[in-house]
Amino acid sequence: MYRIKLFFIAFVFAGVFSSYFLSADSWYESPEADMYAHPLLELYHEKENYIFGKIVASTKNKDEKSFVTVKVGSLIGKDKIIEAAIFEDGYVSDKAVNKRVLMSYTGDIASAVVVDSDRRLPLTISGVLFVILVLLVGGFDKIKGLIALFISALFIVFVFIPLVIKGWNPLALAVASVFIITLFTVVAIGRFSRKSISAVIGTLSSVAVVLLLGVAYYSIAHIDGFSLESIQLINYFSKNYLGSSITGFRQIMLGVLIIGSTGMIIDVSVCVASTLEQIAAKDPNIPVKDLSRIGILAGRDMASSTITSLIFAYFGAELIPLIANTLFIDSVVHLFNNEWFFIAVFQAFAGAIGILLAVPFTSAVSARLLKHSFRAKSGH
Amino acid sequence: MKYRLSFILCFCLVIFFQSVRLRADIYSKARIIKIEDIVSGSNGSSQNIRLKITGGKYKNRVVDVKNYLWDDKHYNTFPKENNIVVVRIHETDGMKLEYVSISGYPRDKILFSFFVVFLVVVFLICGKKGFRLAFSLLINIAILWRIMVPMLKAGFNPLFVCVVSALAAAAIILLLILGFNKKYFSALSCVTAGVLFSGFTTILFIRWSDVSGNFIDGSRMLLVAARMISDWHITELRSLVAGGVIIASLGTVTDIVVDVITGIYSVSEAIPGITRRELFSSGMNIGRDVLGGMLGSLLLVFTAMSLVSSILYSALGIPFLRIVNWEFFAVTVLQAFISSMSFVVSVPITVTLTSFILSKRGGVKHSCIE
Repeated sequence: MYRIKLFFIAFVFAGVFSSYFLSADSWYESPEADMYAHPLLELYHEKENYIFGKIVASTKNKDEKSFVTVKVGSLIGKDKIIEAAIFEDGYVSDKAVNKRVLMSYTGDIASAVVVDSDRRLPLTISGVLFVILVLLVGGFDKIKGLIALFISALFIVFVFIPLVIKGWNPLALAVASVFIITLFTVVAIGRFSRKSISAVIGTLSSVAVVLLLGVAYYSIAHIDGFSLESIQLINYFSKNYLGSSITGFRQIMLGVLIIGSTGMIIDVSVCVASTLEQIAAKDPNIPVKDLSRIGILAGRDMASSTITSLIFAYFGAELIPLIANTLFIDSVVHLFNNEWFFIAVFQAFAGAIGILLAVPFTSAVSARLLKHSFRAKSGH
Repeated sequence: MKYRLSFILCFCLVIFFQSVRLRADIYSKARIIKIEDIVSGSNGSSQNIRLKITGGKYKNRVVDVKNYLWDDKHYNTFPKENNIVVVRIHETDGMKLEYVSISGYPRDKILFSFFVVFLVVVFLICGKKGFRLAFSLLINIAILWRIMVPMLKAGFNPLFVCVVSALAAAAIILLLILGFNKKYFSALSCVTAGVLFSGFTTILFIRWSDVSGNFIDGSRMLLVAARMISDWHITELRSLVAGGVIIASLGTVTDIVVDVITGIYSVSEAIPGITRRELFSSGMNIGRDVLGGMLGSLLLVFTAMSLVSSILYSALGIPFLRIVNWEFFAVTVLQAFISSMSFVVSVPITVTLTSFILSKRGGVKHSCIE
């Protein structure tokens, strides 16, 4: 126990200290470049073509505008060197040499404007690093799970979002996404077996309950999502600029609710189904009632820790919007009647209810399904 | 154990209810007495309403209010007779009621009824253990919302505050789950390692990908507040982004660490004298099983959070190449991948540490462990 206490004290001490030193010093230097264009402002000055390049020389000031010398990739010519202006009133300091940037231009490339920094490499590296770590730690057979995730992401990006923009019903699309995500993820973990089928049925039934709760509460509480500025902007743009108008805002919020909670519900469901499969394999004569009771007992602890991680995940994802929206609120009446607060709290706790309900649903379904399979195998 | 629990409970309640002011609100609830029809004027429609304020300083006062209606029905409140609405009271300098405007629909009773539904489900499924779950949720929310957020608002360094609050929350949750024993200390060290990994990696990637934090949903409000409010100190938004990732990864890291540690301890108790290598390999097997289901959970949460902004920016018809370089996309992707990475990495860290602590060098080799 002494050795452990030593480890623990050393670790926590090192942790707190290093976080202090990490944050104390070099974080507060001003960034090397301030050329960030807000997306909507940039669209207002719309240009047609985008191109990547690398800054090779420091800025010059010409007519009160900053210019950078940029080396452009060899798509157009061979390593052309051009001078590009910075968007609006940004600046680039001397340290920004060798920074990769994104520029846009119309017609002649000499009129290029630097609009943003080139982030393709860090994002790709973070994705690749994630995949490598999963394969290293989890073994090579986790690649099926990764492929399932990739397919889910592709579905959401290339089917869900474009169809919502075209005007299709967001809720139906969200339900379809949940189907596809659940199906692919569970099958990737367990193949086509009774365990997978019961996990899928358990997940879908608890997501259905979460959806029902959402429909009920969002209509009673008159939730439209309009406290989010993104939704106000979607409303504005869809009325004035796009062909078809997007009107199902409450359905978009419901879609967010169910897609967010699906991941954690799948986790609990698969764990309960696996546990029950192992127990039923060892003791095929166990009655269904006992089997489902064991499943609920085993799943309870799993559900509690998953709920904790869900609450933390939602809190961490919404940290900045939370501080921003509760900035001027300092009374209880105002806070609990605020729409954004209601949405945030509801998403977290409805997800928690879904996780809790997944335990009995999956236990009941898998107890019956697994019982049949093992009874058939033992030749009754 | 009970003594510690009750101490923590009191501590939590104190923190949770500190600074909940019951002063006269400028927001109160009011009941509609009489509604007249909608009148469309040259500047838009409005509706005359008489209502009686039902709470706060101006209780039982009857006021006449004009409900201004915008073109778009989503921005309006359409009350019916005898309903309750939330009103905002504008006072003159001398603290007298000047005029009242309708603010929105009431939602607090609905939220409380939802909490009741949640507690019913918790106790139905978890039985007596439901107390532990509700308790740990209360503690988490108390630490995060009542300690960490005010410290961030007061201007302390966000990274430091987030790491320390994360460790404090982990310490209390692990105490509730595991009790004050050997498992607890090893679990806490492993969670610390996982949280630190996520902190370091986030900072590295934020600096590399040149994220400024200015384009997240609420950050413009924070920047405006920095200029307008004199004692507002949040100016560095990048570290808030990193803090968010640290908190988000804390949850899953705790989950996985608890699962792996309970597994390894039961193996070690079942087979005394097991060698370090065997304990390591069985620990990694346990970790692999637990990892399988959890891969996508955090990624889906972050995707759902960013779905609304993605719909907005895709609706504007921008080429894919440009969206991929936008900051909101970069922040979402980084948050999702880095928090997922940190719980994946915490598996080998936990297994190594725990097998190091639990086993002795040598020991009896067992051939039944694969």
